[in-house]
Amino acid sequence: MYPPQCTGLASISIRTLKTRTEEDPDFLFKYIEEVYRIIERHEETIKAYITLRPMEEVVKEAEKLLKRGSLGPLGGALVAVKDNISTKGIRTTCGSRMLENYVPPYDATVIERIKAAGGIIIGKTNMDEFAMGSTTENSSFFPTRNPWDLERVPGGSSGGSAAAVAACEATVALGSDTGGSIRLPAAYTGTVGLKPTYGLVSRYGLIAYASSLDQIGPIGRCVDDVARVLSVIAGYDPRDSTSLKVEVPDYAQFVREEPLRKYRAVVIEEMIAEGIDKGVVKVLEQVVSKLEGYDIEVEFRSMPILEYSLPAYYIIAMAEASSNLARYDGLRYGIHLSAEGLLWTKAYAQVRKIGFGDEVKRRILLGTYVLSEGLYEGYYMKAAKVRRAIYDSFRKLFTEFDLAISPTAPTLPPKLGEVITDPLKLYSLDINTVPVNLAGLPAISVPGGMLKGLPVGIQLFGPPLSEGVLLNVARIVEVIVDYEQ
Amino acid sequence: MEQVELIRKLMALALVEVDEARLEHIRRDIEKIVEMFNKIRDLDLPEDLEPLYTTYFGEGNLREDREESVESSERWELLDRGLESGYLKAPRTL
Repeated sequence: MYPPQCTGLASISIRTLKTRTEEDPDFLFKYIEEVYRIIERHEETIKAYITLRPMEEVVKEAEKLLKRGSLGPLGGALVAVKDNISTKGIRTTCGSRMLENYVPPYDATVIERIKAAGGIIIGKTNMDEFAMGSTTENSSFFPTRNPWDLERVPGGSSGGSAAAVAACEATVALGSDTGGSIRLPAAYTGTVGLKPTYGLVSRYGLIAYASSLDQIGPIGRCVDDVARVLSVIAGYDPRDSTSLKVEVPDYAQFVREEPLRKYRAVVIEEMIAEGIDKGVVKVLEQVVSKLEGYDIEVEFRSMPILEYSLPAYYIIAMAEASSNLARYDGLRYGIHLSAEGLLWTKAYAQVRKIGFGDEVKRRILLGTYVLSEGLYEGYYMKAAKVRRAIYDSFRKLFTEFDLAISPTAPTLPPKLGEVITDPLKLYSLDINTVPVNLAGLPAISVPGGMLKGLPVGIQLFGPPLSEGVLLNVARIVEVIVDYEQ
Repeated sequence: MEQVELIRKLMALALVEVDEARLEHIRRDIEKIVEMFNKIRDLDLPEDLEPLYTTYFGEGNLREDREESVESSERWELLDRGLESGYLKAPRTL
């Protein structure tokens, strides 16, 4: 089920693109033309891209790929990349005035791997500044609109990536997820978004927000596309000190319409409690009852510590952000101003005043606050202990269950301007996604149905390195969902 | 401490400036968010619960330490120039 912009040839999957191009190399050029036709028609309204590469450049890369002799696993897929992932020679703004003119001299590891696997970078997508936000309205440049309803937000912070994929302005996209920034926009735009286990995908070349939580992951229109991209980007990288040395399977082999084995799933009561839209819960219940028909046993459990996940997450994320963003001072990184006659502290502060938006400033100030003498124990240390309690609770839960199921977002996508003025309303959109980041778990958001003409995302998450199980069950959800309701 | 004064102190510590016109707005937002943070301050947790700072439990990929010769006196000269009563003097920030 796609939004109205996404029609015909441009809506095909990676598998179809690759097969048809192998039969007829000209097919790749027809596909590129069709995607650019959609961009020409709709991008002015949706505004998914900060930097879009000219079609001629993309066509040249397609020609090179065809000459290479092998299309690679991505088969010429047009990959939209969140603008906090470094791309050699292509401007990488992080959605901020601070990096408005920054052109990285190197590719992030994920970009190197995408290119080697036959993916073509089509452009850099809009995002909340430094990935701080849940609606993409915090971009320093412009907000992105949800292709399903142009009055609504696409979620954030990877909103540009999700909107580009939903509207068929790209085949697939890369996003980053610190507290739900891949899954929330995937849920709001009816796409599939996966946040991998912490350490599975290299973060070398990702502009840091909160390093103990950040992960790069794929967004696609179907589970199979997401699995294919994950197989390409996952795996050990010596340039990332938190990279896991694990065997990476071909994740596409898990994308089956029947369970690969008998699964036990759990619904955590706190994730469907007060604050979650009743219609959204109903969609979840329908999915759960259908999964039971697939011999996937579902039980309910309570995890009271989750009540504290939102403050714990924001304390940790803001503390890490205040440290990570100290490098934007106009000397090492960021806009350059004349500092003639100014104390260096004044010069730094001026750069940061002009370069950062309100939300970034707010998070840096709060990060500084929770780390300050006398408050550190009560806020940061306590949050780290809550994190441990959440981690231990999940660890125990997943000795009994293979995966957990919840709504990805508590509500339907808000209208533009609806939550941006109230930080607590904005932060509460992440209520069901942040616990997963605190525990470093893998999670996927897959469309679970429609409500009032808008897509509703279902989140599946499991123990570390259970991406295969999640992709298997996500594919089953994809099959059983009845979009006519 | 007055809340506006607290914000000003944080601004000085973080080297972030906010327009005077936006200061009251930022103060209100920060007050709301700190109230949300306060929820965990009163939470009772087991005394022996270890804080968790990362969920990475791999081997780590740190570079090997390499011994370097410090024959050049240049570096020491630079340090000497900044020494005051045996301490390295750094610029005052506040």
